[in-house]
Amino acid sequence: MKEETKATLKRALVDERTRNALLMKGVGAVSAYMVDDRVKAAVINKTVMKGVGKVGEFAAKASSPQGQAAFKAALDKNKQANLHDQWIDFKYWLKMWAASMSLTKVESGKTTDAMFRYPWILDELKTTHLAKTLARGRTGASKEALYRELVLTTKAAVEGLQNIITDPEHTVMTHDMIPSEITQAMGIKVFLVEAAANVIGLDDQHAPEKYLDAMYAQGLPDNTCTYSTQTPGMFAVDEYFKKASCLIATNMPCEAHFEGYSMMIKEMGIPTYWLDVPYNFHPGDPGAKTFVEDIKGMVAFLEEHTGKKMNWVRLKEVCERKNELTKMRTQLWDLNRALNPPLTGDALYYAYMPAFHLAASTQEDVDLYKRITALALRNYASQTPCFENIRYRTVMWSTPPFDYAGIYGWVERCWGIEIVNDMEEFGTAYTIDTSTPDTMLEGLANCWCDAAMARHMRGPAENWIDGLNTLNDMYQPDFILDMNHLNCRGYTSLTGFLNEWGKDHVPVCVCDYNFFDTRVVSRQGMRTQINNFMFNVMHADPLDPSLLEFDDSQAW
Amino acid sequence: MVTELVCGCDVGSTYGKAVIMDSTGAILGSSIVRSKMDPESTAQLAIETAGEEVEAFSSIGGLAYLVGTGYGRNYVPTCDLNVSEISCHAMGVHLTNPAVRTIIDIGGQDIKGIMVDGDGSVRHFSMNDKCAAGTGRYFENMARAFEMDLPAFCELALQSNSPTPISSQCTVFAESEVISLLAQKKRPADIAAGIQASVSKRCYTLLKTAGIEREVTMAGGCAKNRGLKRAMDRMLGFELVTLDTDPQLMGAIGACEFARRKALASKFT
Repeated sequence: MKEETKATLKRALVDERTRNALLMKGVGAVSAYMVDDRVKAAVINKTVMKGVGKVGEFAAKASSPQGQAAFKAALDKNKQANLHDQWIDFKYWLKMWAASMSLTKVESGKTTDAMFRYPWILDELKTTHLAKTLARGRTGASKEALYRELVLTTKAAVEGLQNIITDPEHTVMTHDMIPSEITQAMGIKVFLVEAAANVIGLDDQHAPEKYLDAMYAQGLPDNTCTYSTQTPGMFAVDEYFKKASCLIATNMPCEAHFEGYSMMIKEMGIPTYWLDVPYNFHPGDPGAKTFVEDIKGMVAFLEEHTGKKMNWVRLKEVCERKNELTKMRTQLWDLNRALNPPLTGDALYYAYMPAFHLAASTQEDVDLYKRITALALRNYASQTPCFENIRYRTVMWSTPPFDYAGIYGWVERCWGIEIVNDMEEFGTAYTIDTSTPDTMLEGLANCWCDAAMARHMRGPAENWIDGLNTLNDMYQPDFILDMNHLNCRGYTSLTGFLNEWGKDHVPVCVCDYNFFDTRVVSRQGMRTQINNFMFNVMHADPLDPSLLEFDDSQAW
Repeated sequence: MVTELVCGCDVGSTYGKAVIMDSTGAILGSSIVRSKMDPESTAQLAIETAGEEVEAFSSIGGLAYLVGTGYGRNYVPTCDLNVSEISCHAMGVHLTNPAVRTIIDIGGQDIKGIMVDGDGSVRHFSMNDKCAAGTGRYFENMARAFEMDLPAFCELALQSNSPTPISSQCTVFAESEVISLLAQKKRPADIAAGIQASVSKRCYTLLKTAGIEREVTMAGGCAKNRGLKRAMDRMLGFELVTLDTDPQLMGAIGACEFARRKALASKFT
């Protein structure tokens, strides 16, 4: 960044006039852009007009006395934060915008057209709002860690979008949980099929509804996992990419992937390779060897359809990065065993997502983990908990609700509950032997087959219960927060088992939800279930009673 | 000496209940009134009706402590504290019969399975609040299909020795199924017993989630349904304990006990 720009930004922190000047400059740039013919044409698009209408409604609400009061309250709340936190808020607010808007940096014509053709891409712009929501009430390490993680996730999502929009012929579509170390080593451009579902669900609780309904209307059972339903739904309403060089599909997360995606894959008609995890995976057994052969098949398939060759030297570098990441990750798990856990909840979860689940083992992931580990160690040394009013420690079992990303912050501020680890974040940590290509592939197979979804949700049940027992022993939580995903057939049956387990171990708070659909269980519905448990079983008093019940049914 | 009165008010979806106690825990007055559209009026009516039985009661404002519970607990006028109905039912049943460890509470709109500790605190619970199946509303619907009033419908099942199975759980579908069975001239008593059996199955599932430990009892308005009690006895394989006090008042009694404890504690602090 230029020195002059740095100086202007610093001045903007303290000087309102500079802030306003910067804002007006931004508005001017947007106005200039609107003169472009392509943009004008796209604005005629009905979906976009609906969006514009919503902006109008929002403006009307904001100008009402209640809107102004809410705005004033938000300003007052910000004033309460310390100067460093305010600086972090401002700095990462800019970074989030920069990351989101960088989509139009490469071939801006194509990307702008895509934004209007696939309106869900515009939901990406709500990520800044998501970051603010998650960072609300946070301070110090957890605030900075969260922002950094979300900036990295947004960058990864934007890069994927740029690949598929500007160069689909040389981009490979991959499902969630495909060993991305392989595509990295081969230097292949990738687009993660579920990226859109992940982002828009987190950004706006109602955004996925249209796509879910489209699939149900086509006959997909409405008890299919909403994660696996949403992306094919986008395809069904013709709001998804249809061109790519090839597709790598998998059953890694769960069996619903077969159901939801089969129609989509058939329609797309592009070369597809299925990489499937064996049931009941154990390192060294015949199933594991078969999976290594499957990965080799994937490499051959990619070489055939992309013209790129496997670079084993680069794979070694990537695997070494993965080992480094694993070391830091397990260190964070250990630190949270302390009486004052230094980095918890979503600050832990959103680091895992980009580094181990979506775009694994990049140098940016390593840099992120180094920074958050340093933040956690600093808190640990000063015995500062991630959330200062911690009263209860819990382990979140199952996937967190993507339709209520703010649940971590809510349990902290309403009840003083700290989520020290969760089922998704807590996987088995392998160190990859990087001495030969075969040992690297074997190591990668171990890592991915034992990753949270593949291990815990696909079974057998002993994997799931062993993981829970380990976490229970590690953290001695006051209770288990069981997020019971109603559209996960495997999980709902395991919840019954968990209830029985809880009677011999620790209390279990069962909270029903549906991953991407608040029409099934609303956000207040989730809060009420947790409130009931806290009042009746934990005999707790809320930290902030005003947060027990409030209406956020129409909020993003 | 002026008697210090405390009150617990349980504002349910179909009935409002109130109990007034003195500082020793003796119940001086109680009431059960049909819920009105406005939960605040229901609460006021329930408390004033209970107050009519208590000589020392002057007005709601004169109560030393008032605890609200039930779905309308936020609307109880001049309420000092809100307590969840799950905790209140547990406490109410514990006061009435300390030997009870498991409660099935069937209200107008939901069913709860509650496991209680020896001191009346909740150990586990499970609840069904998403669906009317098996609730008081469900029985009201069924009674309407039989063109009977609710008490007569509940007694009808006792005349059957061979219940007709009802496969539908949903209130709406079950009502259609019952109308079809009545049209097929099946014995009304057998159909009624089938309805009670299907509800008992649903309750049993919830109880299993919360945990079943003897003694087990039923609370809430539906606990007065003798047909359901018989079906539950059969389902569990042993007899449910019958409470000495009106089971519909358990939530209000529990709330009143919480009020009494709070009032006493405030005296010493």
